[in-house]
Amino acid sequence: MSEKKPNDEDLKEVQRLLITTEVDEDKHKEKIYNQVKYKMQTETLHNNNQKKDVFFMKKKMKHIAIVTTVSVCLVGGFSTTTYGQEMIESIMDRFQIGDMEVTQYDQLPVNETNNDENASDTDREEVHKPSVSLEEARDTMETDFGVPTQMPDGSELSKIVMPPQDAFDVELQYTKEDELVSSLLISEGDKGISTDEEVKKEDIADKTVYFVNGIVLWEHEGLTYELYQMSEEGFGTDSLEKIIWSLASGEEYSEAEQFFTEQGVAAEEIDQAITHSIEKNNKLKAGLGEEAYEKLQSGEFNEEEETKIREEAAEILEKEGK
Amino acid sequence: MKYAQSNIPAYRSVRTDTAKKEMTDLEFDQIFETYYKRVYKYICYRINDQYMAEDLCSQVFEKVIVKYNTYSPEKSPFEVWLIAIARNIVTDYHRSMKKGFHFSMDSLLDMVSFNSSPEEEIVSKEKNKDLFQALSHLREKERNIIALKFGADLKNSEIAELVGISSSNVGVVIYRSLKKLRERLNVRRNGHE
Repeated sequence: MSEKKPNDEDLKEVQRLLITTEVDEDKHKEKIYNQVKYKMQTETLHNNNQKKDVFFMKKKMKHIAIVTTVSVCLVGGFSTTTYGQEMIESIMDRFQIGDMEVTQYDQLPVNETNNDENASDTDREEVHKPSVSLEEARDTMETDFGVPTQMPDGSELSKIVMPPQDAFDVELQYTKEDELVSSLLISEGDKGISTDEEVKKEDIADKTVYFVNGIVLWEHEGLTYELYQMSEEGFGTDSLEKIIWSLASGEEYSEAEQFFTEQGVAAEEIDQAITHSIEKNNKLKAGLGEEAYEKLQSGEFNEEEETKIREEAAEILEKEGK
Repeated sequence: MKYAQSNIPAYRSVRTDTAKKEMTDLEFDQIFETYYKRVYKYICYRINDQYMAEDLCSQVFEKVIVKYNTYSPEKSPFEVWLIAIARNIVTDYHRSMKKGFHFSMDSLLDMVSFNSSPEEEIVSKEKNKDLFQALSHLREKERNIIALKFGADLKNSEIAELVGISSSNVGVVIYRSLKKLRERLNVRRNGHE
């Protein structure tokens, strides 16, 4: 049985279903209204919520502290981020990058978790995780996440690690001459970073890229990417642009690899060819939008659409000098 | 039901001053009447438990009352602020449920209403069951954006502001999620046939 490919009408039907589905809200409306109104009138609301706020905040800070201790261990003291349970100094700003929340404080509280001596054994164990393959990581995360086809500094992907108890994080370690050069953390789920340093924001490769405590963060297809750089210089804008444009899922990479192999491209040139092809496709996807890009790839469009999309695609490629 | 029925359609027509103040009963009634359905539908699209949806919805409006004096109209429209509170409460709920998350389809079915003939109800019930099951296969982020779009009825630009991605990226996620839902629904439909 061949699988039916969704067309515009199919998608409109799903949209209609989402818009028109009734969730029986009237059944609960009165109860909810009365509950809240009662608390409001008896002034029991404030006390309850204040208690809850403290509880949630403590919980949140504990979570952040654990995540950060792991990150601080990873970068070997590279980051100057500090955390504490006794927080709530003065929050200057908040930034949301995918599921990651960056909180910028006027001044961070003194804390113990950033102190290596206080890092627990469990936190240290996180650093020494066994390596897995990209396929295994993608299977565990149930996501065909994108990975840079190559790093502009010539470093190579040498190790892929996943925390054993968390199926939503993967860390890619890049080395050059046996030295760890950078580490790319790809994650799904809520995370947090606190800083009292400046949070820089730049538009790079059609993404909003944040620079926090020396960590480069961006969001790609619903996942948060955190790039930790071990060298003093770090990656410049051009290098980051190359990294982001070259992000390819396993499927995209395999397709490109198969294509160039069939075309008889020499083995030593195939990586370069794949990178160029992935970059070109990502630029087209960003410029045209997902829908038009897929039509361009599949060739399933009417005459009017075809001319428009092809012209736009040509313009994008021309701008890129391709 | 004892609501102070109001013809004022939206919050911003009620409150134009920027002075920080406590919420009055009348303001609460207007806000509840205006936004209740969107908040409740958003929560239902994000979680799979009818009774919990009721509880979380109460929590949202309680929080809105408590935090009301911190709302700043210059920073974001009221509905975006309110839905952000709902989003945070659902996120906290998911976080607490991460260890051992489960749901029952019966509870999902109780969530949807059927105000038509028995025959139509059966068809509708199946469709809604399929939709909620398909929603549960989306990734958390995709489901959130779909719930913000079709449950909370926010614009792409408002979702972008809330989620921290670009408007065009929101469009991409919605398109991709709709495709996933369509595929899931097709698989189930073919299964029924």
